[in-house]
Amino acid sequence: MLRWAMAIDLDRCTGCQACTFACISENNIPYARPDETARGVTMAWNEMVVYEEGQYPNPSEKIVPRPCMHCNEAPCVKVCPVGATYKREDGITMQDTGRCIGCRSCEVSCPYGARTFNWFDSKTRFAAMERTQNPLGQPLRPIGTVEKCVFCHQRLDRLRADLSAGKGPRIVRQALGKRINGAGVTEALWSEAVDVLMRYYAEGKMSPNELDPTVTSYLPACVTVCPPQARLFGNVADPDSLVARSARDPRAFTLLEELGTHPNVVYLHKG
Amino acid sequence: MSTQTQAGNPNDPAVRALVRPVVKTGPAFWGWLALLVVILAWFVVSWARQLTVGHVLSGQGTRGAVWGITVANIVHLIGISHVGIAISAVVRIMRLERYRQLARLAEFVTLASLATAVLNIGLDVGRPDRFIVNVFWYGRWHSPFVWSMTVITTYFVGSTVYLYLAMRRDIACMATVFPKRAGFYRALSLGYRDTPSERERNERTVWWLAVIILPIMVSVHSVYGLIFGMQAARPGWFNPLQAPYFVLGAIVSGFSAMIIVAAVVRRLFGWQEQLPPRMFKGLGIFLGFVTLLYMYFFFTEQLTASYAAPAREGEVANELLTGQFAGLFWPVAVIGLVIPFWALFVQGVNKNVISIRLTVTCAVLINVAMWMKRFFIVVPSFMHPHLPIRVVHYQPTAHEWGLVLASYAFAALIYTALIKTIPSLELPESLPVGATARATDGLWLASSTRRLLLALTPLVGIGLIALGIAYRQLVPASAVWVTGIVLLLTIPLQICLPTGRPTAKPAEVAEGVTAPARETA
Repeated sequence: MLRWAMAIDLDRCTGCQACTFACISENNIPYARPDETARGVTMAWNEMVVYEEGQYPNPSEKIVPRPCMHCNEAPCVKVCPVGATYKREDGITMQDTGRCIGCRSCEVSCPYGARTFNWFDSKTRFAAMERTQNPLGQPLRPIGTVEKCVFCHQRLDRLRADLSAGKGPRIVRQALGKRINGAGVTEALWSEAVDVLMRYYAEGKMSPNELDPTVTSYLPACVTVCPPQARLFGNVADPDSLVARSARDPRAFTLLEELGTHPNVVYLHKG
Repeated sequence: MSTQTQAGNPNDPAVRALVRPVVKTGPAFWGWLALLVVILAWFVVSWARQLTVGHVLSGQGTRGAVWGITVANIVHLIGISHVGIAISAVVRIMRLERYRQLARLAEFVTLASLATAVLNIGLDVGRPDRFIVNVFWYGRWHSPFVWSMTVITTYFVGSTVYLYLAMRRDIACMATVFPKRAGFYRALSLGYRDTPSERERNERTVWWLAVIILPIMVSVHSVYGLIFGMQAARPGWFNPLQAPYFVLGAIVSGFSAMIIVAAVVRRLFGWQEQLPPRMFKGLGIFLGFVTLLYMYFFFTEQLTASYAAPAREGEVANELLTGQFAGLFWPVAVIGLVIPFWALFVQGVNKNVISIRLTVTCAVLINVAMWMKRFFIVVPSFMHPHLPIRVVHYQPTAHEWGLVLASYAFAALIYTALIKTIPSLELPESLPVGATARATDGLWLASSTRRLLLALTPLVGIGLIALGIAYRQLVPASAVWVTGIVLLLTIPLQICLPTGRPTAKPAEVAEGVTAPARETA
């Protein structure tokens, strides 16, 4: 069983927004002009939600980075009239912009505000993006469709494909040894490979400043770029994975649990 | 007796008055048509601009109102569309003779507003090029939008069939009343020959269709309530009251719209006699009653939300009462609901007060208030998301207003076309059918073919619906069940098509010219 999940340690997060920018450049997210942002026309797959607490003179802010929660009981999947939003086998909530009709009922139904409509034509408007876009990331989405965070599934899929082709990160191939052969990579192996990468990264064996592309280009962009290493990624269905361990942490909680969406993004906060 | 023989004459002034808009085309009509065409041309250009530039032209936004006035307008138009079936089916089932002449005018309102509602959905969605085909073909059974597609299709096809069968005799009559277009009306009447058995069969089919369509009408508006009522993510929407609330709202806005339309056509075509003041008073009493009921629902909803609800529910409710929408809300509640209700109540209980002007004024106020109420349903919920996401105030742009308002020109165009081609008032029953018609015209079915069709269609139709439901996880399931429903809705047509090849001179038709049909029937 495979269920990709993310754990975000709010006690580590500094609110630096590196994840937001990494997400924009990895996934070729078009940006709105300031006058449009002022009218609420924003486009972001990952963003900071700010909880303001306390009254003057003791105000405080809690900054919560918010990707898509990839809910097990996703309200967006329920309301989508055409099946453009669907759950992948591995739990990723996907968006088929080729089928989406742009009715925005998914955007309306998402309590986390994790979905965004293409309010303008990114292709013609940002002509520069055609040249500067990341060819390995998500291709530009057509105007009038809804898009969302996809847990950088392109990177995860590439890891699986590279491993079965005998390529991929050296540390993973060393750790998995002979279990990788020409027969392809099973789900269990795939999840283990992600966990090997995640541990290598989280246990401080590689600083994000080193930017070792063989490691950083196979995990979701927001995870690899986080300076305080606040994000962990992996298969929550595997009890030994880093993410599953974090989910069992007493500090763990999910956003808006009362709505019954069963998110796959877990937050850690000492409260 | 003398009136009956007179009414049997297609050139009688009383009959000419009924068909005035069909047979008379003056410069005013061409002017009106030109105006509508100009508005719609602007509409098309503006819409094309939205398709290329994007919905950024509207005031909506991810961090603001995700849905705006276009959605409010869709709900409003769907609501208005209820009125045709409500009036014509109820008139038929309960035999309310006083409102009989209103039935077809109301049916036209249904078709015009339903089509315009679909046009507005096209304005709202990002990909109007895909939305009809994709929802039909890829429809997912758990989405309220797919339920909506299913019931709207059922409602549109069902009410078209109903309207057609209910007016089939009048269309056949038009061949004699308006000989210039006799060919068109003969073709449209599908071989209707007005034999007593055919007339009775037609009547009985229409009666049963009315019985079947009334619950469909309720389902259409319930589903629109469910589109909002099933969204746990939006405070102010998740509410079991939504479905009946929307049905009631539909009745209020439908009847108020009907009063306005009836007053306009009454003035335009000189139908003072056919649409008498007493009729408006009766409609006004009903409108006042449902408005009171609506205010009661409204009050219950507001009270529940502000009493001990989750914090966000209370915030959305208070946004109306004291917050950023209060400046709109209170005038709407007082001028748009309370005062018109009071005026209609005074008129209703007072024998001496029969004022069309008063009734229409109240209807206009209530209709505008209902539009605003839809705005209050859609927009304030976006202002208080559950997560502390910063949202901006929703300010509809001129572009958005222009499209929404211009879409009413589309409704007007459909209404004009219907009123121009089809007799909007019922023609007298004594009017003969087919005096100039060639008796061999029209479609017909052999008795055996019809028996076969009538046996097969329900089987195939129900089979397709069952197949679609059973395999709802597979892709064209929605297309399968919708096809099944549409197939079932052709049964009334099959029942009413004449059987047997028309003979050169059917005796009954020849008699119909001399003897008033009412007596033979």
